[in-house]
Order: sequence, then C-alpha cells, then structure tokens
Amino acid sequence: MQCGARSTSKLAHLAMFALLMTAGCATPPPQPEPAEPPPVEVVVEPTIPIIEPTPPPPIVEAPPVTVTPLPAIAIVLSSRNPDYEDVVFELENHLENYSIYDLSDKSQPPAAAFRLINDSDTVAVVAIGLIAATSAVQMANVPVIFSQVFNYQDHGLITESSRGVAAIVPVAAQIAAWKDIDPNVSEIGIIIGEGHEDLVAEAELAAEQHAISLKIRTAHSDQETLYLYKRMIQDIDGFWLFPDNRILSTRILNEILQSARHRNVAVLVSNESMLAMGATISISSVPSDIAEKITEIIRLIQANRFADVPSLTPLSDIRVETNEAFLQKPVVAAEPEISEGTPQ
Amino acid sequence: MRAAIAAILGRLPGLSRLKVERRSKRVLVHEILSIQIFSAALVGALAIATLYWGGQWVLQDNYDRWALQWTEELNELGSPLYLNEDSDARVRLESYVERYSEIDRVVYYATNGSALFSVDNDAAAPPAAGLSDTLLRDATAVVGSRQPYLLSHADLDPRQFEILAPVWTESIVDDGLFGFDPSNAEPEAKTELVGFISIKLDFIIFHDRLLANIKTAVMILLTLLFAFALFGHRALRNALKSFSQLEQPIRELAKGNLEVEFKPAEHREISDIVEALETTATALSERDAELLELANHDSLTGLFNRRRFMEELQNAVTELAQNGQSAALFFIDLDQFKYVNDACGHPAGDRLIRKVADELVRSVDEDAIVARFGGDEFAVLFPNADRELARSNAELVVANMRSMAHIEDDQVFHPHCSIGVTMMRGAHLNHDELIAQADIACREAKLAGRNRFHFFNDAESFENEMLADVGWMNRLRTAIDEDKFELLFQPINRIDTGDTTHHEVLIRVQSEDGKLVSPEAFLPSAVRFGLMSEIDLWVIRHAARAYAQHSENQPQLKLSINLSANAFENEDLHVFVKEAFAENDVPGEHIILEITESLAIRRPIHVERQVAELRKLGCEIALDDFGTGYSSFSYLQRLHFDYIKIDGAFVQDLLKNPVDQKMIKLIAEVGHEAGMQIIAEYVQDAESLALLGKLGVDMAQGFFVGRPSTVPRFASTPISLDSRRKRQAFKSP
Repeated sequence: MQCGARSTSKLAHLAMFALLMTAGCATPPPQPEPAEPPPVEVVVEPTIPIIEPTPPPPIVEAPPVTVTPLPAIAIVLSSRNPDYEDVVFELENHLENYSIYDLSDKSQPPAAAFRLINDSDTVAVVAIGLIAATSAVQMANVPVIFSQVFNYQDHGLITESSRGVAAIVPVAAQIAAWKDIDPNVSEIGIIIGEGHEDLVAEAELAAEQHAISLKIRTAHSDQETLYLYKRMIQDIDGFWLFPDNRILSTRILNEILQSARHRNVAVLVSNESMLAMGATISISSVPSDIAEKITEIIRLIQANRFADVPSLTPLSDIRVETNEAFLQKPVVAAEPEISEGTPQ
Repeated sequence: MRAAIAAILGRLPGLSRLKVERRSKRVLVHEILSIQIFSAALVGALAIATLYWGGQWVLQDNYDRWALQWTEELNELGSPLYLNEDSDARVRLESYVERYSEIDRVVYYATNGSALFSVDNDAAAPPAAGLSDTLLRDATAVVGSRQPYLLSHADLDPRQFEILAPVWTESIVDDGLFGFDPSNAEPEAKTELVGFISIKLDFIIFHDRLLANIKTAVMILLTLLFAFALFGHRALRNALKSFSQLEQPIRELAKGNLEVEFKPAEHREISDIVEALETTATALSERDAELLELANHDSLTGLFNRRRFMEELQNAVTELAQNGQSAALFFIDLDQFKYVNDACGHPAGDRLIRKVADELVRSVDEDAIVARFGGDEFAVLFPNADRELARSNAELVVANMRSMAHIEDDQVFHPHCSIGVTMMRGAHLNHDELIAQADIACREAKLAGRNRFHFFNDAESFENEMLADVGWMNRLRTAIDEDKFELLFQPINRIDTGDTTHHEVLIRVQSEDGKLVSPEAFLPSAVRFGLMSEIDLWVIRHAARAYAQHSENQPQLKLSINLSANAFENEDLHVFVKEAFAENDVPGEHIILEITESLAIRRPIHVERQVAELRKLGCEIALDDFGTGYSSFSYLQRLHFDYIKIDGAFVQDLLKNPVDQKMIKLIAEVGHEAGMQIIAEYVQDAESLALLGKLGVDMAQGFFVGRPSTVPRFASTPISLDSRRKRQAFKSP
C-alpha cells in the first residue's frame, strides 16, 4: 500500500505514530502563511443544552478476506475538487477496474452517467462529494459508498444501500493532537449546526479525557454563528471550526479567524487552506486513508457483507499542519473592546 | 456724553478747567486695553463662529458616517430575525436601544415587508407600518452588495435619518469547504433573506447637547475675556506707570529747567524715551548756550555785543557803588573805517573790524571787558582802574592801533582810532549816561584830530549835548510807542509844467516846547540807539494811512517815502510794506520809495533783492541824495531807479558854480539815457529852478516849489519862459 501520509511537524509526527500504528515516511508539509490577525469581539456566551454523547459504533472486524481482485467500481465525483481527486488518486492504487464519472462535466448529466453505471457491471459506486453522493443514492442500482460529505444526515445518505466514510478524522484524535501541540489549551468553543449530536458527544468525551472544557453551541445560520461566537470568544482559548457549510460563509469565516487571531485564540480547522486566513491548526483527513477505508468497504460488498458495513466508517489517519506564526506565539495586543456607545 | 460730563464737572466748585480738560482726554491704557479686548473678541468670535459652523459641518459629515457604523451593528441588531428560540432577544434589544439615545426606533420586517415588531425609545411612538413595495424592492436589491443598506434623511432636518437594511444569511455551498480556496474572489454561496431592519436615528439631542457644550465653552471664553480685561487693565496701568512718571520731568523741561533729572527706566522702551529726553535736554541746553552766546556776542568779532556789554557795565556800576572803587570806560571809534569800507567793499570792512577786535583783546588785560558797540565802534570796560591805569591803557591801545596795518587789494590801511575815556566812580550815573560821556569824549578826540584819546570832562555843552542825545532816545521811544511823530508833505513839481507830481513824506517830532523838530536833530540818536528801523516802519504805516485819508479828495495823490539803511536790514520789509498798503488800500503805483545813494552802493546785492520785491508791489524807486557817495552809474543801472534826486549840495550854489552846473547836466543826461527822471532838491529860488530846467532836470523840490505841510497841497510853480516855449513847441502840430 502506497503511503500517502504526510507528516508535518515533529510533534504532529509523534502524535501520528502514537495514535496510529501505521508507519509512514515524512515529507515536510507546506508551511502555512501567517494569516492576518482577526479582530477581537466581545461575545456573551449563550447557554445551550448539553447533549450526552453517544458512543461511536464499535468497529466490527471483518473476517480475514482473501485478496481477490476488486470488482468493477464506478467512481463518481461531484467536481474536480483537489480534495476529491486526491481520493480518486489513492483509490486508483487499489482498484483495477473502475470508471470515473465527473458530475461537473456538463456534457454528461448525472442521469446519463448513472444510466451507464447501472447498465454496466459496476458492483458499487464510490461517490465523492455531496452532489455525487446524493445523485448516487438516488439513481444508482448498486451499493453506494460516499465520502467527503460532512452533513450526510441532512440528505439521508445513509440507507440500506449506501454507506459512508467519515469526512473528518475522529474528534478524539483531533483533540489529542491539539493537546499535543498546545498543552495549555483548556477551554474550546464549538459552534455547529443541527444533526451532529453524535459528533458532539464524541468530542465531549474526548475533551473530558484531556481535561478540556467544551463550550458547544448550535447555530442555524452564519449570522447566528457569528452572534454566538462573539459571546463565546472571551471565555475560550481555542475554537474548533467544524466544516459545517450550513452555518458558515466566507465573510463569517474571515471575521471569526481574524477575531481569534486578535484574541490569541487558537482555531482548529479541517482544511489547511484556512491557515492562510488565520487558522492555527489544520487537522485533515489523509486521502490514502479514505481510499483504504473505501476499499475495505468494497471488499465487504464483494463478500456480500454490505450489511456489516457501519453507517459511517471512521478514518484512521490524520494530517496535522500548524500556522508557524501561532507556534511562535506572537504577542498581539488584543483589540480594545468596543464600548457600547455611539459608534465612533 | 464726554462733553456733558465735562460741562457738569466744569461747574463744580474747585475744579479747574485744566482738570476738566484732562478728564475729557483719552486714556492710553483704555485704548490699548480696548484694542486688545477688541482683537481678542474678534479672534474669539471668529473662533466661536469657526467652531460652530465647522462643528456643524463636521457633525453633519459625521452623522452619515455614524449612521453607516450602525449598519455594522446589524449582526447584533438583526439577531431577532435569525436567532431561533431566543426569548430574550427582545429584552436584550430593548436594553441595547435604551443605551443609545440616538436610536429613535428599530423596526423589524418580515421578508414580505410586514412589520414584525419594533423597539422604540419613545413609548408613545405609533405602531410601525410595513414597507412599501418600492422600499421592499429596493432593500431586497441591495442584498449582498457592497452597500447593503438604504439611507434616507428627514425632509426638514438632516440630523434625523433612517437606515433600512436587509438581513440575510449566507452559507458556503454544500461542497464548498472541501478544497476551500480563500483567495477565490467570488466564492459560491447560498443566500437567504430573513427579513429587514429599519433603524431610525435622531441626533438632535446629541447635536443640542454639543451646542450646549459649545455655548458653555463660549461663556467660559467670554468670562475669561472679561477677567483678562480686568487683569489686563491693572497690568497695563502698572506697565504704563513709567510713562506717567515722565510727566513731571517733561513739565520741568518745558518750563526751561534743563537740569531736570530723569529717573532710570526699567523698560527698554521707556529707557529709549528717557534717553531721547535727556539728549533733547542736552541739545536744548547747548542751543540755549549757543543762543545766549549769539545774544550776547557780536557774530563778526565774537566780542560782547552792545546789549551784553551794557549788562556788564550796569553790574560794574552796581559793584562800584558798593565797593567805592573806580573803573574806566573806553569808547573807541575807528578813524576812516568808512573809507576802507567804501573803497574795498563791505567784506573788507568786516575783515578790518575782526582784526581790530583781535588787536583790542590783545592790548588789554584779561579782566577787561571788550565789546563791539556797533559798526566801527567798540567799548572797553576796565573794572579796577584808576585814572593813571586808564591813561596808560588808552595810550597802549592808540599806539597798537596806530602801528596796525591792514592790507586790502594791495593797499595798506592804518586804521587809527579815537578813544573817549570816562572814569567811573560812585553811584552817580547809570550805564547810559556813562556811555554818553565816553561818546562825548570820543567826539572830542576826533575833533582834536583823531588818532588819540580824550578824557571826558565836565564841559556843559558836550554833556548837555550827550544828555540831550540820551533824552532824544527816550523821546523817540515814546514817539514810536505813542504815535507822537508827525508827517509833513512837501510837493515835488515838474519844472516844465509846474504841476505837482508827488509829495515827499517828511517826519517830524515835537520837542518839549511843542515845536516840530526836523530829522537831523534826532535821527543820529535814533541810529545810535537802534530805533531807526522802528521809525521807518512807523513812517510806512502812517504814510499809508495818510494816503488813504487824503486820496479820497485827491485821487491823483502820490507819495514818496524815505527808507533808511536800517529798514533794509529787515528781510521782511516788503512784506510789511505790502501789508500796510493792503490795510489801507494803497495802490503801489502811487508810492515812491526813496533810498540813499550810500545804502545803494554799500550793499548793492542786498538792496537789489529788496528793491525787486518792492517793485512787485508796483512801487517806484528813487535814489536820494545822489552825488554825495562814491557811486558809479553801473550800480545805478543795475538797480533800475525810476528817479534820481540830486543832492542839495549841487543845487545850493548852482547859479555861481559851473562845476555844479556841469555835474547836474551830466547827471541829467545819463539819467535820462538810463530811463530815469531827475529831481533836484533844495530849490530856493526861481532862477535856480529855471537853470535846472535848462540843464535837463525834470522836477524840483524845495521851499521855492513848496514848503512841507501837514496835508498834501497841489500848487503850481511858475514856469520859465524856456520851459513854456518847449511846452508850446511840444503842443504845436
């Protein structure tokens, strides 16, 4: 299996070795560019009900499977997004017989693509991205394995014939990595949309194990996210930004990241491109890991054990990148609090 | 106002007019303070106006910006629209709105424009109405734009305006966070309008509060100005005190006290003024000394002048009266000075005088007082001298003068002198009398042959003469002051026609016995005692009055007035003549001014200038006593005389003296050639008159022609046969 993991800093590398039991060679990660310090804003923390975390489903170890060639697989992409293509690239290392369908190609509408798939000897569809996943679930006649979809629950992507691979690495691993990078972090804020109670419970459990207090709020829009963030920011020293696009906009992302930068609050993101916007730590999935998980599910499908596939297969590998500026801990004077008076 | 106060104060007893005048004068402190206060008030007013109008402008400019800043609060303000299940939102919003008095009302609208609820600062505000279709459309159009709000001002007051802004949510597209590129300029986003918010802002209170603060600042400024004025008044008074202190010393200076001392000044400006005043006092003192020097000294020789010498003489007389000692007074007259003056000119005469003065000073002791008495006369006072000492001094002076040689124009002159000496003892005589005695003695020396000295003796005739001389001085002074002179008019007739052409004005003075005394008796005294100039002016003034009086009945009246040499010493003679004529309405063409030949030749340039001024008045000029001086016809031509009056000396023996006849004939021919008319004086008989006519003389004056009278008389003189024949020849075609 070709290693596709990339290690970053020494600490991240050690974390990876500690958590995982897979070796990898390291290549220095790209250094994120220091982001502009965001403004500091005063936020009053609203109270939200604490949801008891539900334990993650146990991983059922599949019986040893003899390595037989994988069947024909249709890989459907929502677009030529690099995050999607990386997974495809890794998948190609595992698959021998596959076809790739790009739903962003206007020359081939999704219906036409799935007609072809359904008419072929495709055993399973690997849908990468939300559009591919929803289209596959709707139109494919074969089992669907989706990945790179965070809000799967909103679109009913878990069905009898469809399973998913987690879009983000396990929260426990993220917290553990964060704690390794910044041992002083103790109060972490989370604002997330509805439907991720399991995730939240998992995070709370992991946080408790690392003596980290989580302040979790549920938002329904980007405005609400900002509103809740302003009321939270004074009481936290870290903010966990989940990739819930429903409650995030580019404007809000900028505001949150700049504000956190001003207040010297670390921000954990799942996309290293946000390090340039001012995020502090990026913990993202590893395409090879995603590909492996997909391959395992394909094998189960091949062994007629699709029912044994969990709804959402967790990932194993993480890729950690940090903002060098955060590591150097520059002393940034906090913006003065905006006093509530006539705007000046 | 000031005049009224001054009038009231002037009536109060004890207040002098000077005090009233002082109060009505401006006060420097008040003026300076007024200027300062005015300047400060002007600057203050400009500052206040700038502050007010600038503030208004800045405020207006800021209102818009402040309004826009409120739009940045929309996330906070708009929370009721996007927050779910937030029961506290309204409460929180109300407390938020309460904190800002500028927020009048906040209204929330649903996406269809209907009003959801409002939060008002004014409890009595009416319920909010929904948005009009136009507003709804316009507000919806700005969703996601760079200026996502609508701003409107109240019609009547720019301080009130309303912001209407849409509230919307955005979210990244479903797959957007995967491969998220922050550098993407326009990332894909889902936009959902959730409602509208309207914020009504009213800055009137803020504006009024600011204005109130400005007014308070203005009041404080004015109060400070007033305090400054009070303080400034006192400070200025103190500062200008130094000026006030100059008043007394300057008054002393004005009174003539040049020894006044000025207090040293603390301020540089005052110090400069004090320095200038001290310089002025010094300059005045020096000028005083100079004037005193000029007043007391003769400008030509540097010796004491007559006035100063008389003072010294009087002091000596007083001292002698006390100490009983004796002193000697010399009166020195140069012999033949006139000859040098006439032969070599006035400058040569001056040089001689200076030389004589130097010689006299060298010849006498240091304690002797030497003075120039006038002309070629000197006086010397020997304070402590007896007769023997006086004699020896006189001999020394005579000898030194005798041996002195003066060279002019390659000619050598020995200007001897005659000295009159009088001894001063006791308190019997005053200084005038002593001078008179010394003068008498000097005359005696001259009569005895000059170049000698003579002691005054008690010969009665001389003393009487001199005393008479002194008496004439007093009488002349009285005559001048009390108009005691009289004017007589003697006709001058044409020889050919016998008609009177004009009258000579002759001055007389009444003697003690009431008789009229002719000028020969008193004019020398007048000259001696410096009264001649005044007599000249008296004659001019009264001759003009006489003309005015007599010309009414005699419109053809023409007067001839004599002017002495002293009259021409007055540079403003022509001005006086002009004023006298104007006062009496005398036409200049009816006046002839007579000047003597000796004056004309002695100072020709000076006389020429004066004559030119007198001619401008229309007067004619006659040369009197012609033939007695060392004149030349070139001088006569230069001065352009209208008449030549031949001296009586030529007429007196005319009938017997052919030389006189030739002289007269010559004078007449040359005079006629030069355009002058010839007048002969002292015509006593008909034969002389006829002969004068034959010789070419035009007019005649004398007892035969007419005697002086108190009023001008026109009487024809007999015409000679020859004259008649000439006249008939002239008349015939």
